[in-house]
This record gives sequence, structure tokens and C-alpha cells, in this order.
Amino acid sequence: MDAHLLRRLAAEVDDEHRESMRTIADDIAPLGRRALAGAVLGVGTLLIGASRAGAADATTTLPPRQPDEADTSVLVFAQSLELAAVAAYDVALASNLLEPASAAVAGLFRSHHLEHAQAMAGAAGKAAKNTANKAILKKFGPVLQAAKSQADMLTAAFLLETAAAATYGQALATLKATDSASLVASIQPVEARHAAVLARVLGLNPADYLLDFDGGATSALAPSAYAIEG
Amino acid sequence: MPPLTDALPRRKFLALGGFSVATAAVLAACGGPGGKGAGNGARVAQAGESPVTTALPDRVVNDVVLLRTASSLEHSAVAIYDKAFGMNLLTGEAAEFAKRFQDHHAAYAKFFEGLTTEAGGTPFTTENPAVTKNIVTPAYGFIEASADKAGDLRNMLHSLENVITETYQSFVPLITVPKLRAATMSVGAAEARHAAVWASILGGPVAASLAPKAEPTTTVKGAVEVVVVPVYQAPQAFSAMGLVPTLLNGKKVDLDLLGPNSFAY
Repeated sequence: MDAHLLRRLAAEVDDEHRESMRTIADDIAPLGRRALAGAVLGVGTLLIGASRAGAADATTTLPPRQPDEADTSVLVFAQSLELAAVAAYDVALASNLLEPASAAVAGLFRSHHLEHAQAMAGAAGKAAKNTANKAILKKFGPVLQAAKSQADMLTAAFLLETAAAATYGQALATLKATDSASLVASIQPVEARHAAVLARVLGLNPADYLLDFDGGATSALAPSAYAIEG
Repeated sequence: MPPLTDALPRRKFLALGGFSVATAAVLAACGGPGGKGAGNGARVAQAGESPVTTALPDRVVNDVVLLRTASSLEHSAVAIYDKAFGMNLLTGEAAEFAKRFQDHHAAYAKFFEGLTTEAGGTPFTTENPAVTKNIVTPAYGFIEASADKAGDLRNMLHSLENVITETYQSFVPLITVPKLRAATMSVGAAEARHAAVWASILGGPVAASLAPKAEPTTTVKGAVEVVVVPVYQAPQAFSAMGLVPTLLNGKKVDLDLLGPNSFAY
């Protein structure tokens, strides 16, 4: 993949996400109005420890802490994504195309993805598949296999990290449970950092990786499009 | 005189004690603020001075408060970069990135203001006073006193981006609407990229700043105390939430995330 194509892809991602961020206010407006109505009734409120409970706080409807079935399916998918990333870095590290410094970076990021997969397994419980997502591997595998240079390999890793960060951004918009959302929110910035680090190594134009907003739908890997086999 | 124990058997003593307590409670209850219940303004005698108490204000943390806090934090970031540019210490690549990041923060402020309005609140359109008092003023005080103002300024801007990212991360379990969580972290993750770039500028080669995470250290060389605060582009597998150590004027200064005392209610 050449730098021009990469820039075009990144620009498309950014444009798409800017568009989605422009319309997010409309998307959440009905929710916002409901939230306002709820606030009047004391719904959806949290009181900080040192504060006194007001009279309007008799009923509260807080988000659940534990994931329901829909949340769990997101966590299961996330685990398969993380294991696919581990497999991708395995390919990169085995290629002998990476210089020692870049191999150190790839090894570190691989270890992060493995930790993420383990955390997702813990959150998903018995539902976890504990297998790399084959559909995601099919998407990135050929790019990795065809890589002829360190730059090719790191470019593929950059795209994978960008996709992972975006996927978590989309996941946050659906997860209801606070525990699940907190876990995802602790991973999304790390994968965004990975993308930025790789972009710096590749010497990309800042506009290609310093997105106005992270987590755009275009580069996200939708569970419906990358279903876990088996 | 008979012994006291004979004159006041244990059972009677307990009954009397109970009566006394009940009577005291009634008398105390009669003593309203104006003393009317006690008649002629008389008050039940009490030992010592009664403290004047003020009820704590109601402080409800809801989505609107968090969005207002987010816009206030972004306005603070814009102001911090303004102050940094005013010092004329950012040059070359650092200056270019700083300008880009400041533009982002200005856009994020507007973004959160819009979300606040949509959620039924009044947008917070100025700097966060707690950030100004607890982070900006002391940090710039350290920088002004430092022998390495340019280095310390970059340290502070790096930490600022981490503080913002981690603050938004801490908001996630408090926000009730999933799409607002996603919107908040779409900014938080972008600012994590800012932090990674500042770390790359501070830490030099990528590999050098990707070493296993170490804690800040203090050593003494001769009579001089040398403080090292490691900087990483990708510090760990999970984004942390806690104090952000920063090297300012040769000292480790911990910058705290925004908590309830810093929220824009």
C-alpha cells in the first residue's frame, strides 16, 4: 500500500467521522430531551459522596453495571478483534522485515492486544469464543502477507489500530452497562495511541492520524460484517 | 442515711434515667429557632458553644454537568495553549503540533457546548475556574521559575493532554446515555493521540520511549537532587486514571484529574 492510498483512506475516515460528529447532536436530541425530563423527575442522577440528597431524588434509574446479552455480544466480538490483532503482529514479527526498534514497538503492542483480549474474556465470561476473528484476519492478512518492507508492515498495523480504535468508539455508543463501557473506554485511547505512534514512525502527515474526532464509523469493524465463525 | 443503692434500686434508677432522657428530648424539641416553644424565648441550657452549620448545597452530577465540565476543560486547554504561545518557547514541530492541538480543543469546546444544549442544559463557555486555580496558575509558576522553561512547557502540555483524556475516561461510567459516552471518548481518544505526539517530541526515538514503564525517581548527584519523570508514547495496555506526574522546575508535580469539586454544576 503506498502513502497516497493511505492518505486517501485516512482522509476518507476523517471526513466520514466529521460528518457523523456533525449529526450526533441530532442523533442524541431525543435522548437529550428524555434525559432532561428524567432530570426533573430525579431520574438518571448521581450524587457525589459529600453532597446531600435532594428531595427530587426519590427514584433513580441508573445504567446497569453488568452487561446484558447485547453488551456481551459486543465484548465477545471485541475479544475476537483483539486476538486477530495479536495474530497480525505475530505475522509482522515473524516476517523479519522489522528493524529492532520497530520490532520492539510491534512486540509491545502485541502484548497490549493480548491483555485486552484477556480483559474482554473476563468481561464476556462463558460467552467468550477465545478465538481470533477470521473475517478480520481475512481483511488484514493479505496486506500483511504481501508486505515487502517495514513500511508496508507498519502501514498495515496502523490501519488495524485505527480500525480497532474506531470499533471501540462505535461499541461505546451501544454498550449499556457501565462496567463494559469503562473497560472499552480504557482501551480505545490506547489503540488510538498505537495508531499515532505507528504514524510517527511512518512519517505520515499529521492530518492523516491526528483526527478531529476518534471512533468514526467508516474505519470501524462492524460485528455484522465480521461475524465470528463457529 | 440509707445507702444510695437502697434508696434508688437499679430498676427504678433505669426507669428514672429513661424518663430524664425522654424529658430532655421533649424540651429540646420545644426549643425552636425562635425559642417560642420554650416560652419567653428561654432555651434549654447546653454545655459549650453550638457550632453554626450550613447545609451542603445539592450537587447532582448528571450528563449535563459532565458535558458542561467537558466544554469548560476544553476552554481551559485553549487558554493554556494561548499562554504557551505567548511565551514564545515553542518552535518548529512542537509549535506546529501545538497550533493543531489548540484548534482541536477549540472545536471540542464548541462540540461539547452543542451537546450540552441538546441535552437540555446551558453550555459552559469559559475556562474551568478550578483548572485555572489548581493546574494552570501553579504550573506556569513552576515554568516561569525553571531554568528549562521550554522543556517544562512541553512537559506541561503533554500532561495536560493526558489529564483531559483520563478525565473523559472517568466520565464514562457516570454518563447515562451511551451515545454521549461515545461522543466524549471520540474526543478523549483523539487527545490521547495528542499526548502520544507530545511524548514522542519529549522522548526522542520511539523505542527509547517505549521501554517498560518505570515510576518517577529522585536521585542525588553531589548536592543536586535529580528527578526523572519517564514519558511514554504508549505507557501501558489500559489507559490509567490517576495523578499525572509532571516534571516542572526540577520537581515531580502531580496533576490531578477533574473530580466533583471541579465540575461545572
